[in-house]
Amino acid sequence: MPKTTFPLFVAALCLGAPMPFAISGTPEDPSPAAAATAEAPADISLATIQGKTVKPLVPPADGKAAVVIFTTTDCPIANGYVPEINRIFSEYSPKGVSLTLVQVDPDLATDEAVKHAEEYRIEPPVVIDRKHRLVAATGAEVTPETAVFDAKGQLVYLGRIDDQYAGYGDRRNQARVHDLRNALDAILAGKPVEHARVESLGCYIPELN
Amino acid sequence: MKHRILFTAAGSLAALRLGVVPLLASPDVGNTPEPEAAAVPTFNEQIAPLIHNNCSSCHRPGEAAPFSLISFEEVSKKAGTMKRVMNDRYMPPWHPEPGYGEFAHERRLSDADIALFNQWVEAGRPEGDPDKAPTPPTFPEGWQLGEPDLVLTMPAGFSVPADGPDLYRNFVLPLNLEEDKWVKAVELRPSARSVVHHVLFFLDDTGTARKLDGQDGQPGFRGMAFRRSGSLGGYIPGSATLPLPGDLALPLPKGSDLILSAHFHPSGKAEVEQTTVGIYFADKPSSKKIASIQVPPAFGRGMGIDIPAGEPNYKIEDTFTLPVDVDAISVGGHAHYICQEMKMTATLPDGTEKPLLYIADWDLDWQDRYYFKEPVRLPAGTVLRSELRYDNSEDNPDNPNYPPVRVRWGRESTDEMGSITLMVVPADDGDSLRLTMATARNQGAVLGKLASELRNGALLERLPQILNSMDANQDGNLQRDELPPRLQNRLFDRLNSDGNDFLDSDEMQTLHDFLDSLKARASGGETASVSPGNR
Repeated sequence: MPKTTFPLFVAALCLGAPMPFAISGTPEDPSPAAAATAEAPADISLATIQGKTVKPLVPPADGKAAVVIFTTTDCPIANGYVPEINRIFSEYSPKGVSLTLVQVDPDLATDEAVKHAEEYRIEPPVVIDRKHRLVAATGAEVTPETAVFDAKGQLVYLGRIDDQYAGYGDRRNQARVHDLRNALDAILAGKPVEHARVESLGCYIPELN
Repeated sequence: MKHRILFTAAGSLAALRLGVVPLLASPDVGNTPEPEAAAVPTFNEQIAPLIHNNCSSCHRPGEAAPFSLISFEEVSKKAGTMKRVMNDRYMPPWHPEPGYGEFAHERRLSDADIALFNQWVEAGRPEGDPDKAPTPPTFPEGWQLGEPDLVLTMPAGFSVPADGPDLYRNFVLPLNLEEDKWVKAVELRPSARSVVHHVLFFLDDTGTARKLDGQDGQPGFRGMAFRRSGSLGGYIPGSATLPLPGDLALPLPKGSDLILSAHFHPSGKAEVEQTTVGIYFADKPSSKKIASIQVPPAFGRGMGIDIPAGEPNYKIEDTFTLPVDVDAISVGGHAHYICQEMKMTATLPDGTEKPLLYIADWDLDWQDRYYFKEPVRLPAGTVLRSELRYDNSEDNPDNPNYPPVRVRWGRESTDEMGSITLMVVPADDGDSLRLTMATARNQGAVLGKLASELRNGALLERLPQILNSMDANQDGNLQRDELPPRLQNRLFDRLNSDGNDFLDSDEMQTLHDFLDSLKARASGGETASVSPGNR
């Protein structure tokens, strides 16, 4: 019943500070939902909206990490992150990190995705994950949740970009904790990611019917 | 996270009263007198009316909300998000706590509504019998209140960047009215709805705002450095544009410019905002003079607000005793980011307590004015009590400072202020002057002695121009050394309630309001002599 699950959400939000997030399981122990349908990350290839075939969960040759960030064209929280996503893309691409924006609305037409990318000046490549192959492979639940895979094909981070949103409608003027950047910095330094799971706040990824 | 320390006892009483709503009681369509134990709600029967009545007026094409929620496909796709924000009570946006004031156009889902929606999502979002598919709701296209009497558009667009902190900006719309008007409602149509967070409507009859307009190369101007000679309410996405009740109207004197005081949220996409405003006039003057009672006055400037860094539970409280019988029309609060709770209670002369407003989770982003369902009669002698609580700890996600810093009264968004304004009309129109005098005295208590020194009518009349001419550097503020020495302590120090080195427009406003009230008393005295009914 909703009445019993809701306080858990609230409790999770109330802790505020970055924390390992329990819902999606650990990298060694993927959640059952993801395990049931997930393909091996290296097997998933999709066409970008510009028509190029990419493997979003595989780091570039000689690279260290592959980042996917889930989004829709109409999630205000995800759209508000586009400038920061562009910054992360331009800062980390030269360091051997790939970044792909993943549209998750199964009914999204390619030309709508192109229009959205132009309006928001999205710089990273964009794919449309109509069958939720990337959603299943990562266990992401909301937009703009982000997943990071290392060169071994392990999911090493799943969670928010940063803590700018403390709750729905609670947008801080500036983020305090940059979880995605911290995860990437750790990977690039050859260190383990300190917080591998951090709850992400945003719009729920629609279920496939 | 959301502390409810200040009003815990009352808050839990209200929760108890509401808590008895049966969880699964649905707004039944009435065709099943005995509830079927396992009846699963469907979109076509139970969910569509719920969404169409509570969500679709904003969540439809061309409106402020980010996506449309009308069809089964639209609602089904957003169901997860909708369920979460309904249970969080983030949507629909409605901040007054139930049980404190009864308001018109309440946008609040009942616990039963939310339970019904949860049940629908958990059942897999069934569409239901296609024969029972609802007809889509119809909404007025364009202006909500029909064609306005006066339509104005910003002459140039204002650029809002894709990213960065929130922006505040004032825009000047010259009205060039040839006669005084009375205003029933103002409706705003933003061109870039996703970035316009709210807009307040002020009047300026001095031309100061016109002078400030565009000085930094962009349309409009920053800050509040103009004398607000009146107010016409505001626009908040998601709240209906309401005409003032009955034959009440707000004065709009000729010679006034309309100032749009806008708050923008960057959306991720660079936008250009060029607002259109529609003004609806009354065909005759207001039957009664609307008065605003602000408690504490002047947005709490005299309350010595000084909140230590990290303090989670800082409170201010003030009262105002009504001099005459009034009918309260609406109530609204104002504070900045770290205010957490605000509450106004009326204690009637017989000891009865009437709650007027309680916001337990203040959010600057959704500051609204709430119109009472029916006017609330408050007899003379009623004590209005405002209580506000601030959370300056780092646990308050709205705290703009990290780590927290000491916060004092001020007009910048990183400063704090706070008050609750009750809009009233006197029950007996003959009491209008006494009410105006009492509120002005409250606002300008610090100026009492000055007034007795300035009983010289000609000097009074000229004081605003005199002061205007003293603003040597034309920055809209009066620096202490811009005044002649004998006025520095008689005027400057009395008005300078925040203790900085200049008088800002709010401080000047206190003087203007006070002078206006003295003038009203002077002319009211004449009226009294020909109107025996007046006291």
